[in-house]
Amino acid sequence: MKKLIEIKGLSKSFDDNLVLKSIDLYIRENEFITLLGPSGCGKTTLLRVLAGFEVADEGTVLFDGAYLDDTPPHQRQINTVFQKYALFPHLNVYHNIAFGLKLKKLPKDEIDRLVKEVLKLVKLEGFEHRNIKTLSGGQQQRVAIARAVVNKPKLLLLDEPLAALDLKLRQDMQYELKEMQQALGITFVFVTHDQEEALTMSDTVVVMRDGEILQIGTPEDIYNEPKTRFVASFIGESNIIPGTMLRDYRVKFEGLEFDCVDKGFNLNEAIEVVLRPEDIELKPATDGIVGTVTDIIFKGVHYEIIVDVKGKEYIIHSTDAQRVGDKVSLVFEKEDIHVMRL
Amino acid sequence: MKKHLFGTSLQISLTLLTFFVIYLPIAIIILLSIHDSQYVFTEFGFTFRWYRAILDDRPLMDAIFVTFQIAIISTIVSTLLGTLFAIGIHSLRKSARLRVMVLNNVPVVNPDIVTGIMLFMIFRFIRISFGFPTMLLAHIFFSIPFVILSVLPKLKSLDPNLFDAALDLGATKFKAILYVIVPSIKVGMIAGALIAFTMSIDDFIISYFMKQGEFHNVSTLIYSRLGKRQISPAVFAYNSLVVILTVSIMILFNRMNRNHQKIKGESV
Amino acid sequence: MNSVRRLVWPYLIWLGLLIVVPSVFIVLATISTFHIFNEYSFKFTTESLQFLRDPIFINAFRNSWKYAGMTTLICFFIGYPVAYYFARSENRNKTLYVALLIVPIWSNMIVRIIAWENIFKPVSIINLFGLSFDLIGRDSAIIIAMVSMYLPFMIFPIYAVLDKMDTALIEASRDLGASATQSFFKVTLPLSLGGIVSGVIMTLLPAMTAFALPERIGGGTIILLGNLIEKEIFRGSFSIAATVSFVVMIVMLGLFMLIIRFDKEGETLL
Repeated sequence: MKKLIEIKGLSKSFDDNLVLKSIDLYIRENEFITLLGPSGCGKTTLLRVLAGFEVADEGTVLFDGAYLDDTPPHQRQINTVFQKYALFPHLNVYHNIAFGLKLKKLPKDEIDRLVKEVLKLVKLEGFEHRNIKTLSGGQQQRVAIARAVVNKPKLLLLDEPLAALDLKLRQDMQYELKEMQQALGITFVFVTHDQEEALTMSDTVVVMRDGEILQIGTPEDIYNEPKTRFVASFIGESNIIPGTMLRDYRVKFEGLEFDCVDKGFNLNEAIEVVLRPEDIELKPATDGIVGTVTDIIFKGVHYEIIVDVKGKEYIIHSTDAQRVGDKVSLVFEKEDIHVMRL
Repeated sequence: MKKHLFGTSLQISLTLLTFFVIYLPIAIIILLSIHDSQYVFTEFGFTFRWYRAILDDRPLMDAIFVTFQIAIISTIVSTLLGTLFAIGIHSLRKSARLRVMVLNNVPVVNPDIVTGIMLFMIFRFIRISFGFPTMLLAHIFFSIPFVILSVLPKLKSLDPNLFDAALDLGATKFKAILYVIVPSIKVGMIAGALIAFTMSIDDFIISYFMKQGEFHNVSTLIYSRLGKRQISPAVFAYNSLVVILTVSIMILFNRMNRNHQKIKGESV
Repeated sequence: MNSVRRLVWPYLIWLGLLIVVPSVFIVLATISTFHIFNEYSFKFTTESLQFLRDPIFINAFRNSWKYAGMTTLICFFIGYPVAYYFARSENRNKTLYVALLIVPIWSNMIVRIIAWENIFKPVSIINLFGLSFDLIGRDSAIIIAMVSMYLPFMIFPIYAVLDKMDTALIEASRDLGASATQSFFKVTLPLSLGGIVSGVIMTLLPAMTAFALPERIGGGTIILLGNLIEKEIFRGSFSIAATVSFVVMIVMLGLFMLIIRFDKEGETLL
C-alpha cells in the first residue's frame, strides 16, 4: 500500500525539554495506526505536529509525497478528534458538524445532506438541534467524530478520544471506530496510553517512550515479540526472567536449558526471557521449574495465581484453581519463550 | 447545628446598615431633586421643575453628552482590545502570563490620582491636545485591564483545544477567534463591557486631570461648579434619573434571567 | 493557541508607554531637576525630597493613614460579615442584592459627596425630618462618608472568594472535629485572605488619595495626600506633586506585593 505520511527525523522540544527525538515513521494509506505510550512519551505532540498545531524544530513531514511543514492547520486535509472533544459550546450538533463545511462555503443543501449522512454514520440521527451540553459523554464523542469525518479528510487524528468514557462504552466505541475506519477508507492515527485499546483496534502499533519509538509492528508482533523489557511490561502482564542465549534456538534460565525459536544472538549472550502469564501451565510438581503457590485471586474469566520460585514471583493465568501451598511445575511450549536483548 | 460565627441576626443588621449607608446619599439626592427650594428646608415643597431644568442647562447637557460619548466609545474600544489582549495573554505559558498580569493589574490597583498624574505627564510629554482625545484615551486605558480580568477566567474555563479545533476544521486564526472563541466568552466580554461603562460614567479623578478649559464631563463640571458655589438641583435631577434607570434595568434583568432559568430548567 | 501570542505585544507597548514611562518620570522628578513642563534639564538634587520633612507633608501623610486606616478597618468589620451573609445565602434574588451594591457607583461620586455634605451641615434637606447635624470638618463625618463611598469595594472581592469556596470544605472541617468557630478561623478565613487583601487595597488606596471628599466634608481644613498632589500639580509645582505621588506609589507597591502573594493573576480584583 502507498505511503500517505512520511515523517523524517522529527524533533521537538519545549523549554529545553526534548519531547520528540528524531522520529522516523511512515503511515500507509487506509491504515489504522496507534501511537501507544505512557503520558509524556511525546505521542500527543507528534499528533499535534501532524495536525499543524505545533511546528517541529527539526525534520520534515511528507503528505502524499509533498512537504507539509509550511501548510497551516486550516489548509491541511487532516482533521482531529480532540481529547475532551473540544465541541463548540455555543453551537448545536448541526452547527458543530457543519462548521468546517460552511467555511468551505458549500451550498446549504449540500451541507444538510452531508450532516445527515454523517449523523447516520455515528448513529445520532435526529440529534441535529440538540444543545451540546445536553448530550452524554458518548454522544459528544460521536459528534466530535462526525464533525471531523464530515470534511472527508485523508487522515484522521484521534487524541485519546475514548479516555473520558466508561469501560463498557469504551469497548463498544472501539468496535465502532474500527468499523467506521473500514467503511470510510480513511487513515486513522490513534493516540492512547491504553494497551488494550491499541491491540484491539490497530493494524499497526507504534510504542513510544521518552520521545522515541521503541517498536513498530502488528498488535500480534508487539504482544508476542516485545523487543525490550519496557514494551513487554507495558503491553500486558509478563514474567521477565534474566537468562543466557547459549546458541541459536537454545536458551538457559532459572538454571535450566530450553529449546526456543529465537536465533541471531551471540554465543552466551545475556538476555531476558518473557513468559506471558496465560502461556504458562501448572502441573503437579515433577521436574523443570518448580515452585510453591503463594496466592490465588479469582478474576472472572481466569484465576491469577502467584507462584514462588526460589524467591522469585511468577504470575500465571489459568482457568484451573490451585491451593495455596501446593508445589507445582511451570510448563510452557518453546514458542511461548520470548527472548529480548538487554 | 446552623450556628454561624457572627450570628445570623448580626449579619442581617450589618447588611441592612450597609444598604442604609450607601443608599442614604442617593435618597438625599432624590429628595433634593424634587424639593422646590434650594435654600429653605423648613417645609417640603414638591416640584418636577429641576428635571425640566436639565434641558435648559446648556453646559450640563453638553457634559452629559460628553460623558456618554466617552463612555460608549471607550467601552466598545476597550472591550474589543481587552478581549484580543486577553486571548493573547491566555496563550502565554504560565510564568510569562503571571508577569504580564502583574503589569495589567497596576492600573487596577493604582490610586486614580496617581494614574491621573501619570497620564497627565505622558500626554503632556507626547503633546496630545488635552480635552476629548486625552479623556477618551484615559478611559480606554483604565478600562482595558478590567475587561481582561473579566474575560480571562472565561478563557481558562474553555476546552484548551477549542481554538485548534476551529483551525483543524479549516478556519483561519481570525475566523477561529470570531466564530468560536468570542461566542464562547461572550458572558465575560459583556461583564467587562458593563464594568468599563460603569467606571467611565463614574470617573471623576482621572477625567479631572484630562480636562481642558470649558471641556467637561458631568463629574468635572459639577466639581468646578462646587468651587464657584453654583450647583443647580438640575444636577441632582439628572443623577436621580440615572440611578432610577439603573436600578430598574437591574431588576428587569433579574426577572428575565429568572424566567429564563425556569424555562431552561424545565426543558432539560 | 500559541499562534495568537503575538496579540500580547501591542498591549505590552501600550502599558509600557502609559505606566512604565510616566513612573520613570515620577522617580526622575523626585530625585532630580527633571521637569516635563518646560526644560528637560537633568541634575540630581534632593530638593524635592526635602519636602518629605515639611510639616505640611507630614500632616497630610498622617491624616491619610488615619482616615483611610479607620475607614478600611470599619469597612472590613462591616464588609466581611455582609459578604459572608450573601455568599452563604440561598435567596434566589441574592445576585440582585449584590448587584444593588453597585448601583450607588452609578450615581456620580461628586454628587454623593455633596449629599453627605448636605447631611452634615446644619441647614439642609434633612431639616425636613427634624434632624440637623453640624459635623463638617469633624473626623467622624469624613470617616462615615468614606465608609459609604468605599464599602462596596471591600465587599465585592471578599464575596467573590467566599461565593466560589466549596462548602464541602467546611463540612470536611466539621467532620474532622472542628467547631463552627474553629472551622471559620482555620478554613474559611485563611481561604478568603486573597479577597481580604484585595478589599483592603481597593478601600485603603482610594481613601488615602481622595481629594474631593476631604475637601468638601473636611470644610477645606483637612488635607490628605490627594489634596496635596492636586493642589501642587495645578499650581505648577510639578516636582512636589511627583514626590508625593512617589510616596503613594511606594505604599501601593508594598500592598501590590501582598496581592501577588495571595492572588497571582489578580482574579479577586474585579
